[in-house]
Order: sequence, then structure tokens, then C-alpha cells
Amino acid sequence: MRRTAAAANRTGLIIVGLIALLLGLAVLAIGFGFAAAFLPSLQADASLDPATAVLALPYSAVIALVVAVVLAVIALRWLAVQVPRKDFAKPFRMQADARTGLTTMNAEVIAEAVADDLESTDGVVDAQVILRGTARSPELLVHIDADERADIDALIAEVADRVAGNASLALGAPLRAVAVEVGIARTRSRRQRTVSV
Amino acid sequence: MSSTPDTTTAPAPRRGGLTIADKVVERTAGQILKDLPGVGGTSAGLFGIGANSSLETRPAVDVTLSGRSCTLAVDVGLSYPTPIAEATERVRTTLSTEVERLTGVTVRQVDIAVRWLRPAAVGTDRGKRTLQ
Repeated sequence: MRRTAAAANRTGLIIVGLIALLLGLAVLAIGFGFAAAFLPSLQADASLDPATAVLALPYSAVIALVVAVVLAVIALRWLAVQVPRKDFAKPFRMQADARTGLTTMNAEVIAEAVADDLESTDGVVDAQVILRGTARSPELLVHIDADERADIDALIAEVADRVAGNASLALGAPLRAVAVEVGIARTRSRRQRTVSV
Repeated sequence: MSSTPDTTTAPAPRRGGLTIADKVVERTAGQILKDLPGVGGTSAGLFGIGANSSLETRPAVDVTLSGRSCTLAVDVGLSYPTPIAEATERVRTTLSTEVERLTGVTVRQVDIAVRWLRPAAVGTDRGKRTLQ
């Protein structure tokens, strides 16, 4: 139901891996003396005094601080991306002619209506719905917590026929995909407290 | 022969002007929406607390007047399931026609934001279900 940061993690790990690989190869090249063929000063037994001298310069600490801040920002951004997100569709625009006015609706609105529709179905204790895609090509992701004594086959058929049909009717477009995830609720729902007859 | 001037035939500027406030257009449009079946609104609570959405509530309308015409921005809720594009187009057409007929102000555009969708039978209480 929620999207995680798999793509961002792959990209980040590839970049970090490439940097580490290049640094490792550079150290190996210096250690085995291959780097001296290109830069004679890069000997394995060369003195580190020039490097130490650079680090001792007065502005080195400032540069190190700036680099640390940049790395910290990148790390925090990466951490923030790890938070799973529902990733709803962008607000739908549903007007026939924009010159006479715009019609907008957030995807959460239809998702909430579908969830209400599901929760009015026999055997459904709770439901969460996410709508993705576009107004012309919507996708419905449904998670149902069903009563443990519910007929799951009948429930899935109800979702596929009635609930998905209602969503399609409301959106005025066929659903490109409907994904249903069913969980079993061990405790009975206490949400319904009144009944009208 | 009466000495009273004949006001019914005098040119319009001499009979006085008619000024319509934007609030009048707002209320008129809101009432037109309230009378439409399957269209509702959200009542304002205190700082959002106690706000109530139902098909019986008058939808919020914001009017921007410009000369003798106006643009309307409305927040509505609709009954579910209903074809949203068709329902909002009906709202737009009805508002344009009726507001102009009742107030004389031409409606250029109607921007519609659909805020909620609800089965007509459910009413306002989300925790309450109706046995049908």
C-alpha cells in the first residue's frame, strides 16, 4: 500500500559504491606504485608532509565544516526519503472545457468514498484505499480487514464488481488496475453503534 | 390632468440605480446549489471544530465581481456513486444560468472543488451506518 524508497536507495548506494571503489583503486594504485608512472610524487613511501601542510592551513577547517554540512544535508535527505509514503495521485482535473471553469478533486476524496463504500459491505471491519494514476487511467489499491468469519471469495467478488464499479462510475473512466489486499481482523469492529430500520 | 411626473416611462438613470453586493450573488449561488439534488456543502465550525458536511448543507461560494460579470469558486460535496464530471458540469450550467437570471450578473467561469463524496443515505455521521 505504501511506497518505499527502493529506487532512491539503489541510486544512493550505487553512487557511494562507485566513490568507494574509485578511492580503493586509487589507494591500490599508489600502494603498488602504478600511480607513480603518471604522477611521480605519488610514491607509496612518499612523505605525507605536503598533505599535512594543506590540512594545517587556516581555512582548511572551514572547508571541512562546509563539506561536513553538505554531507549531513545529503544524509538527512536520504533518511527522509526512507519514510514510507502513500503516494496518492495528483489532484484530478475533470472539467470538460477549462474556459468555463475548472473542476478539481483530490485523490484522497475518492479514496475515502471508496473506503466508506467498502466499510458498508458485509464482513468488512476496516478498509484503506489509495488511488493512483490519472483521472483517465486510475488505479485502485485496496486493503481490507475482513471479519474472520467472512466469506473471502464473496468479499473479493463484491470489491471487484460493486465497489470497483462504483469508483469507475464516479470517475467516468475504467480502472486500469485494482489491487486487493485482505487481512483478517481478530477483534470485532466497535465502530457501528446505531442502526436505523 | 395630473401634475405627477410619469416615472414609468422616464429613462432608467433618472429612476435610480440598482447595486448588488457580492454577498448577494454568493448567497444566491449557495441557495441554488443547496436546491440541487445530490449536492452538499460543509458548514463552518469554530476554528474548524464542529464543521459538518452533508448533502443538506449549503455549499460555500466565493464570488469575484468584475464589471457586470463574475467568476464563482464553489466547494461542494457530491453523493456517491455519481459520475463526478457530469454532476459538476450540471452544477456549472445551473449556476451560470440561474445566477444570471436571478441577479442579472453574467457568470463567466465557475471553478468547482469537490471536497467529499458520500452515499446519500449515510448522512453526516461517519460513525453511524444505516440498515437498508
